[in-house]
Parts: sequence; C-alpha cells; structure tokens
Amino acid sequence: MIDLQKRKIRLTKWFTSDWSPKEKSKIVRDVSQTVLARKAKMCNVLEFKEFKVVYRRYASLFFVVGTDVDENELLMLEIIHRYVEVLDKWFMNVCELDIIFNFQQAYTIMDELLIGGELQDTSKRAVLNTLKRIDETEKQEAANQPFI
Amino acid sequence: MDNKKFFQNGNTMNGLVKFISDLRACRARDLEEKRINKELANIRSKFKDSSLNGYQKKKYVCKLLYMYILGWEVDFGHVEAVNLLNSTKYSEKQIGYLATTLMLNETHELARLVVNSIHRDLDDHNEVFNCLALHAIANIGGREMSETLINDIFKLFTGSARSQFVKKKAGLTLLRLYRKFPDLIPGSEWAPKILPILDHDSLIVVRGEYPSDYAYNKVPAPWLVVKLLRLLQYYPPPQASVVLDELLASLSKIISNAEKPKNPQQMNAQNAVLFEAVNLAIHLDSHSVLISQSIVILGDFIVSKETNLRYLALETMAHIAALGDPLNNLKDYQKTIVDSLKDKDISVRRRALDLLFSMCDVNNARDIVGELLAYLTQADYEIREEMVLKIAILAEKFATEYTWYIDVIMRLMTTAGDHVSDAIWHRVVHITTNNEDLREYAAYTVLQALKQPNCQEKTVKLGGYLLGEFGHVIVESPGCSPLDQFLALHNNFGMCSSSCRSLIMSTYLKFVNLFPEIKPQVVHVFTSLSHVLDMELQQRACEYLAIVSLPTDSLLQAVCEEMPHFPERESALLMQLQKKLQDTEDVRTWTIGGKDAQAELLMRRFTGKVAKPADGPTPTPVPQAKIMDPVAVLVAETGGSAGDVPDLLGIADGAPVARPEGASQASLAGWFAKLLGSASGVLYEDSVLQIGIKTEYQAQFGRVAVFYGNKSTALPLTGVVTTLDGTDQVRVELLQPISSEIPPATQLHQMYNFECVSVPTTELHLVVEYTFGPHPIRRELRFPVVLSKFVAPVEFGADDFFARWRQIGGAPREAQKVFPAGGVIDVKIPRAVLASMQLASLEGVDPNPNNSVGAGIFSCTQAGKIGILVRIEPSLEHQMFRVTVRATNEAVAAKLTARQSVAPISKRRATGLGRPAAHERTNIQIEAVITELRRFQSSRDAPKERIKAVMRFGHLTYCGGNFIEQAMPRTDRYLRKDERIVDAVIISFVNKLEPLALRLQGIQTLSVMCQGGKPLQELLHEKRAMDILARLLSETDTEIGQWAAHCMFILAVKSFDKYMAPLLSPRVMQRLEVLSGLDWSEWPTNNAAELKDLIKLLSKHQ
Repeated sequence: MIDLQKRKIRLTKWFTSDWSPKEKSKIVRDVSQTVLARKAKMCNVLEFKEFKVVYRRYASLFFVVGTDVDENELLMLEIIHRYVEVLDKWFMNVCELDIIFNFQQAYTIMDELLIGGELQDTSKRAVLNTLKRIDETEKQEAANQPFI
Repeated sequence: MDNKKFFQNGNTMNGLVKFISDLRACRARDLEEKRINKELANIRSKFKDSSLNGYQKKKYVCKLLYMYILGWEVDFGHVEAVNLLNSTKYSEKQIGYLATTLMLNETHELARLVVNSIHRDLDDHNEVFNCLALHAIANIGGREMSETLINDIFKLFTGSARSQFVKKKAGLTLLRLYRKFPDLIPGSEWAPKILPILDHDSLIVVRGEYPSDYAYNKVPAPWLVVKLLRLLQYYPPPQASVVLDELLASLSKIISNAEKPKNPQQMNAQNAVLFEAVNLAIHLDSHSVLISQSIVILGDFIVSKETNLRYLALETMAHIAALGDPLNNLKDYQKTIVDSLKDKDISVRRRALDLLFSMCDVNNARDIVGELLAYLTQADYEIREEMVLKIAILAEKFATEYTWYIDVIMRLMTTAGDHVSDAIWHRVVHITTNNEDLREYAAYTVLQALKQPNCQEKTVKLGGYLLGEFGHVIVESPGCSPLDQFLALHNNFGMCSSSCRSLIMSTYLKFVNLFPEIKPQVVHVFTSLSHVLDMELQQRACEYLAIVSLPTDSLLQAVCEEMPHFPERESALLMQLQKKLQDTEDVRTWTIGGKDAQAELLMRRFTGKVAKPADGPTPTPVPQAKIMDPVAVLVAETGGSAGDVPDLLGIADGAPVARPEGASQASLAGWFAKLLGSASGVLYEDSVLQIGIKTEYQAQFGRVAVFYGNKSTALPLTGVVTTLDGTDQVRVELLQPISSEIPPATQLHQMYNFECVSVPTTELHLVVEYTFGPHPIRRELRFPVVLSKFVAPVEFGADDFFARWRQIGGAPREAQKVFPAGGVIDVKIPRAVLASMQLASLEGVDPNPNNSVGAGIFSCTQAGKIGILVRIEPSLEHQMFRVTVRATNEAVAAKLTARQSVAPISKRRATGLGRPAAHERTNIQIEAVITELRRFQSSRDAPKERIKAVMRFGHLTYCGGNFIEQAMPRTDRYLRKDERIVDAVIISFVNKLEPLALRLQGIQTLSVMCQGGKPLQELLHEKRAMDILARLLSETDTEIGQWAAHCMFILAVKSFDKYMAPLLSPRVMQRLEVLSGLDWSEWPTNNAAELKDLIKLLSKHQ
C-alpha cells in the first residue's frame, strides 16, 4: 500500500484482499500518524503491529509501504524509489499535482511495477515499454472516439 | 514523447479535472464536504439515467474514485464500475478495473459478478486486457474467483501464446494465489511444467554478463539476487564441497566488496544484497571466516550515520548471535551495542535490545542484564514491557546463582512494576517452589521489599504468595517474625487492587496455619472484611473466617497444605515472546533469541506447530486443584466460586503423558457428600477420567447408571475394569457391563441394580482400574449407595409426629449426635441434613420454629418397613446442631446418626452475627441454662462450681423468669431440658452427704422455681417436689427445714389441690408444728406457721 502525504491520503493500494474497508482505513490512519510523527533523521523502517513499515519522503510526499517482517527493508526502500523514478519519467518531472489529477495513471504505473506485491521487473525500461504500449492502445481509442 | 500533453488534451475528462480543482480550492473540510455531497447527488441522478454512454460512466466512476481515495464514504456506483469492465475500450475498462480493485474486497457480493468479465479478459487476445485481468486477480482474488480462474492463469503462464511480460504477470499472480490458497495449486502436478521456465533465457545469470538495463544504480538486479539468496537459505547447506565452496566464494565477493558508494540508491541496493548474503553465509556455515568478516563490516555499520544501516546491522548481528558460535567476535562490540540502546530512534533501540537478548550467555549475562536494568529506568514506555520480559528470561536462563536471579527480578519489579506482567512473578513462584535452597532468600528479599514505601502491586502479590508458602522458613531471622510479615503485607493491603487483596487474604489464611500466634490479628481482619462491598473479598472473608473458627484445624491444614512442586514445563515467558513472533507468509529463516529459540523455530517450520514433546496429549483441563492458587483449591473443595481464579503459570499447556494426578481427598469427600443428597452428579474427576452417576430408587430397590468419561482428546483409556462388590446387606447386580477401552473424548456407561436386604452398615466401594498411556491406574471410590437411599419421605401432622416420637421412646431406639454448625446457624443446614437422609422436612410440626423435624420410611427386604423420625435442634451459643433420630429399628437409628459425622460447612455467605433478633433472645437464655446444666453435671468433684451453677439456675429462673414460662406451654422440648434442671437442683440438696452450702443453694433455687408458672408447677408436681420437701422438714439442720417449709408454702399457695395428700399427712403437720417454733426472725414471715394455718384452712374448706 502506498500513501502520499500532505495530511491527505493521495493514493492507496492494497495487495491483501481480505481486509474490510474499516480495517483498511484504521490502518491507514494509524500508520500515517506514526510515520508523520517521526523525525527526519530516523531510520526508514519501523515495526507496526505484526508488520514492518518502510517509508520514504520525497518533498512533501511520504511513500509508505507495509510488508511482512522478513522482507528485505532496503529493497523495499528501493522499490519505492523505483516507483518514483518511473513516475518521474512518465510524467516528466513528476509533482504532486500529476498524481492528483492523473491518479488512474499513477495506479496503472504501480500495477506495471508490482503485482501481488512482488516487483515484476528489475528493468525500468521494461516497465516503461509496457506503459507506452498501453498508452498506444488508449491513443488509438481516443483517435477513433467521436468528439463529444 | 509528450505524455503530459496527451493526457491533458486527448483523454482527460474535463469534468473530473474541474471537480478535482474545485476540491483543491476548498480550504475547510466542511466546504469540501459540501462540494462532495453536491457531486454525489449529481452522480446519483445521472446514474438513474440508463442512456449514459461509456465515457460518461467512466467520468462519474472516476469522480467517485477520487472521493473514495480522499477518504469519503462512497456507497454506490459499484454496479456502474463493474459495467465498465465489460467495455471494449481500454480506457473505460481500465477505470472499471481500478474501481473494482479499489472498492471491492474478496468478500464483497459484487466480487462474484466480476469473475465472468475477468475470465473474458484473460482469454482476450489483447495482452493489455490480459494484464488488467491479472492485476485484478492478484489484488482481490478471493477463493471463489481463484478456483474459477486459476487454470486459465496457469495456461497463460506455461503456454506459448503470450509474450514474456504477460507470462511474468501470470507467474506472479499464481504466486500470490499460492500464498493465499496453497491447496488450490496441485504442486506436484504443476511443478514439472513450471520448472522449464526457469531455464528460459530471460533469467540472466547473476555472475557474469548482464544487460545494462538490469543494473539498478550499478548493482546488478538486486531484487533477483536477494530472492535467490533467500531461496538458498530455504535449502539445507549443500553437501558437495565444490558447490559449497563456489557459493562461499561468491558470497565472499559480495561481502568483501568494500566499495562505499555515494549514491544512496546504489548503497541501499548494495547493502540489501550484502545483508542477504550475510544471512545466507550464516545459514551455510556459521563458523566460517566470512562471518568474522561480516561482523567487522556490521560493526562499522552500527556506528554509521545512516540510521537504516545501524538498524539493519543490529538486526543482522542478532541473526549471527542467534545461530553462530563466534560470540566472542560479537562481544567486542558489546559496548557499542549497549550504547545503541540510547539511539535516538526507537526502532534502533528495539533492535539493540533484541541483539543483546540474543547474544547473552552465561559469561556476559550479568553485564548485559545489569546494563538492561540500568537502561530500563529511562527506556521508552513502548519497549519497557518487552525489556522487562527479556530481562526476566535472561536472568532465569543464565543465572548461576539463584540469589542473583531473585535480585534481578526484585529490581525489575521496583523499577518497572507496571510493566511486569503477571507471568513474571508467576515464574518466580514456580522457580522458588521447585528449588528449596532458594526459598529462604526469596522470602527474605521479598519481605524486605514489602517494607519499602511505595511498594509495587506485583511485588505485593509475589510477597503475598511467597510469604504465605515459605514465610515460616525465615521466621528466625531478625525482623521477620510472623507479626512482621503480617504487618509488612497488611500495610500494603489498603493500596492494592481487589485481586491482590484476595491473594493476600489467602496468605493470611495460610499465616493462621503457619503461625497460630497471629490468629487474632488475622481473624480481626477477616471479620472487618466480612462486611466489605466487594463480593469476592466478602466471600473469602466469610469462608476463611469459617475455616479458622472451626473447632479443629484439620480443614485449615488440608486447605493450606504446602504447594507441591510445579511440573517442569516451558516457561510461560518464552511462550509469551514466541507469540509475538508468529509465522508470516514467507517463512522466517531465523528468530530473535539464542540457539534454543532457533531449534524451536525449526520444529515449528517442519511440524507446522509449536514444538511439543512427542505424542503429548492436547491441552488437558486443569489437573485438579493442587497446582493452582490455594484459593482455587479451596474453591474446589468447598464448591464455592471465587470468580476468575488466575491461571497460574499457564497451566493448560501441553506436557508429556503425565500420570493423571488423583483428585484430592477433600474433593472426593465433597463429591460423595453431594451425591448423598442428590440423584445424580459427579463421583470422581481428574485430568483424564470423569465418573458420574445417575440413580433411581424405589423402596428397597435401586438402579444406578455409572458414566465413565475419558477427558483426554488424544489417548484412550485401555484395560478398563470396574468392580463393585455387593455386601450381605446390599445386593448388587451388574446389568450392563462396560467395554475395556474408552476412546478419547468419549463417555461410556454401565448399569447396576441394587437391592437392600437388611440395614446397610458397611459401605460399597467402586474400584476402577485402567491404563492411561504408560501408566496403570487404580482408583477406589466410596459408592453412594447408603441406607438413606432406601428411605422414602413421609408426611405427618404435629400430633401424629409427637405421638409416634413418644411411642418409639428413648435409647436404644434413639440416637443422638451433635455437630458444629460451621459458622452461622443457618436454617438451610437442617433442611439439607434431612434431605440427605431422604426424609420429608415437616414444616410447622415442631412448636419451636428453630427446630426441624423430618420423617421417612426405610424399606429393606428382610426387616420390612422401618419408620424414622428425626429432629434437629440448633444451639446458637455453641454453634452446634443436635440431631436426634428415633427409629423403630435400633440399627437404623444408629446408622443414620453415625453418618452425620462430617459437618456440612455453611456454604452460603454468612450474614454476620449482629444483635440477635427479639425472638432469638429467648433461645439465648435457654442456651445459657443448658451451659449451666452442663457445668453442673461435669463438675462432680468441684462443689464450688456446682454451687455456682445451682445459684445461676436460680438467677436464670428468677431473672429470665418469664422466658421459661413462655416457652414451656408450647413445647415439651424445654420441659425436658428443665426437667433436667429441676433434677439437678433437687439432687443438689436431697443428698445429705452434699456440702451444706450446696444444699442450701439448691433449695433456695428450688424456692425460686416454686414461684414459677403453671408448666413449672406441673413439672415440680411430676417430680414429686412436695414429697421431697416434706421429708426435708425433719432434717436435723433447721435452716434446711425452714427453706423446705418456705418452698412448701409457696407450692401449696399455688396449687393446693395437687398436694393434698402429702400436705395432709399428720407427719407434716407435726414437723411444721416444730418448725414454726423456731426462730423466723430473719424471714419475712414464719412460713411454717403460715403453711400450717393454710393447710388447716384449706382442708376444712375441702
């Protein structure tokens, strides 16, 4: 799951399917409070109940990942970074507004990066290629679409 | 490529952009809410219009999604979202999928509807659609969806129709489903088909060449490498040395890569691989040089500026400490690690704590525990509890001297009392009980701690328990006298919680047993507590008070018997720790803690459950009482309920097939006694076997079903043999035998017929023999087929009852028994006694409402029917009951009373002994008379006592005068008592050999009695008082004669008619003549003369 922050949740993604909306919103609330309370120099890993939370801050946005305790924390951190990299590449110097106005794109990008919580490909280019392909499809549709 | 432009112009929904902008412009939340509600209403109305096209639907669903992401509740639109899935346009389909994965979870009812759409998209030739479907499955795939689609996914994965990236997604989706529903994937069947994919060229070998794309900040494919390293940890270290060497060589390459990259991403990725490599190295060979190398690197990391590195280094070190032996290398860093406890980041502090916990051994335990204790005072609240737990475990595990252990725990309790869980002090109790050498020190130390001001409650609990059990061990030491111990506890009593107070009360009870000298103080406390509002405390106070007030100490001793050693078992503390480390999806390769903890983890990994000694039975219920809190024992024995009895030391965990401990004698007696009064119930119960019976009686015939329940859920009871031999008096016939094996968790039963031939005098015994696990077990149980079972109740009216009562008469067909009331005279007790004899309790038959009477008929084949009458009289003063049984057969009477040997303890809450009610006062006076009477009878050789007694008879008769008169007309019970008083008085003066003083006192008392009312007059008449007195007239001692004349005068005035004969005898007249000539100056009147005149007058009149 990933939150973006400015006291507001910008985006969440769950790779567990059996939690009720209530549980989800409670966890989001608790985790964001805990993460926001941490100081800049503190380490990017913290234990949260039976999970581990890895987070990273980019400008005004916090990217937070909750995982099992035995995931490799540093790599989680790098998954976050990889996501930001791809966002950046895709949106051309990404900023929060891009994510806000094109949230469906942000989700698509994440889907291309992760599936079921696992990283799909080490290669950034592979991901971007897929995204381009999706984009092509959309473009064609848009071209065929009558003007509204 | 100008994606941005594209999004803005072509495919962006203007309405959505406007909406988002509007919301962003809202400064306050209520404005935002207003805008949201407006939009919701708008969308709702739009959705009602069925002619919406795909674009519009997409736009509105997008708006809903945005609201949803912002955290607003969206309770409609799901159906439209699901509709979008069926669109043929990617952009619409994509939004549909996004909404589906965000807003639905696997249990949502619409999740079922989307399965078909997803299925269609999986089969579609458009790979982009395939991907959408796979994403959705990986996200919200519940069981139903997975079952339907898994084969299709597998085809996508193994088939050749799709390109690499789709296959990859299919593979990962399968992984996700496998983790969630491992049973859905036929592993052995599919594995051969999956394996060839591993050889596919898209997997680039780690060492050697790799395409530049796969470098992540110069680190080759870190994710893949880490996965591979992790994978290798799941396999046992390779046996072939070639493979092993090669592996170690590559690891060495990773570990010794000393490059210190500036780029944080590169550093992270590199270190991620490094840490995983170290983990693998530990797994392969924990003694290798690699480990020493790693430790040096990690040592640098601990002091690194990068918090993440410090954190992870400590964690990896804990891994080394957990598995590796070269602790010595680690110990070089002990100081640094201890410093890490003060790191400014709590996550790092936690890791440091874990590491110290893991690296602790016998040699450095004192240092580490000392450091931890010192740090405890300033530790965050969040980790204190964990620290306390760990310190306690270390202290126990590595203690070379027990005194050190006790010291550590005591310090723990004083510094972090609130964070000390109950398990910790329970463990101390456990250890102290099992180690006799430790008891003195433990008791002494805890007593000193109790004397400190501001004692923590846990300390008080521990103190309460230890002193109660072992207080006597230290009683010789200065400052440890029983009173000191009592006061130390009692000073803390007021500050404690209810549960703690309850525990301390049990301690006090034990004190009474250990130190009788402080009984008064304890009784005082109990008495004052018997009025508190707290139910639990009040009940305890009353029950304990009842126990200590019993005439004998046998029950007290039985209750306070020293606790037996605890069975050795896994520390509850460790279990508590393990609970925190439950397995998660990916199996953990190591765990916090020393090597034992690793072994435990291994067991768990391979057996799938917590390591348990082999073939241990599943958790058994509490094996009777003894290992519990003494209170529980008490509760079990008295059948009371003390609320939640704390489960001390987690009793219910598994253990090897323990020999089931027999139930205590007290429980046996309790069950037996209960069965005497009821038709069904428990006869016997321990951890394994439960025997219950159901009975049915008709005259001299009875039928009993005996139920044998095997409580173990794992093992059967084998070789079951039950024997119940009849006697001459009671014939036993086995109707339905029992099989020789009782399967686990099963109940079997057998049936017996009984016939009572003659009065049963001996008891029946049921012998049960069986084998449980390796243990042959034999239990002999008293069987509750007794005389009273063959008694049927009979109802009588008052007249009938007493007619029969007199008819049967006294001994030998009468038997009496006195038993203590055990606390307070309670009307329920006599009823219970009558019920246990199977007699009808006859209400309103006995003139005295305090008495209870009952009647019944006993049937047996030989003697036929035998009537039984019973009367129970309470004695308020002595807290006793007297049971009188009259039966038409001596043996029955004797047998029935003999049975009442065990005093039924008052189980109900006592109401306290306040001022007796008015109607009870009479009874008290009566009791006083009886006491005097007993005093009189028992002091045959002490004339002074007898004089006093006789005098008191007089006082009582005089002062309380009315009471006897009031009582007497109603009952012959008092008559009988007074009869004895009158007898006693008369005896005291009739015998000329008795001392004159006694005789004078006696006759004076009689004179008081002579003034009594009608019943007393009748009684005196019956006792021929006039005749006796007449004889005394001729005594040589004139004073006696004068008194006799006085008495005779009073009697004559009261009821002349009755005494005509003696009074008119010439001899009396003659004596009175003489006596009237004596000196009567000290008397109010010359009674002799007056009596003479009276006789003359009345006789003439007659």
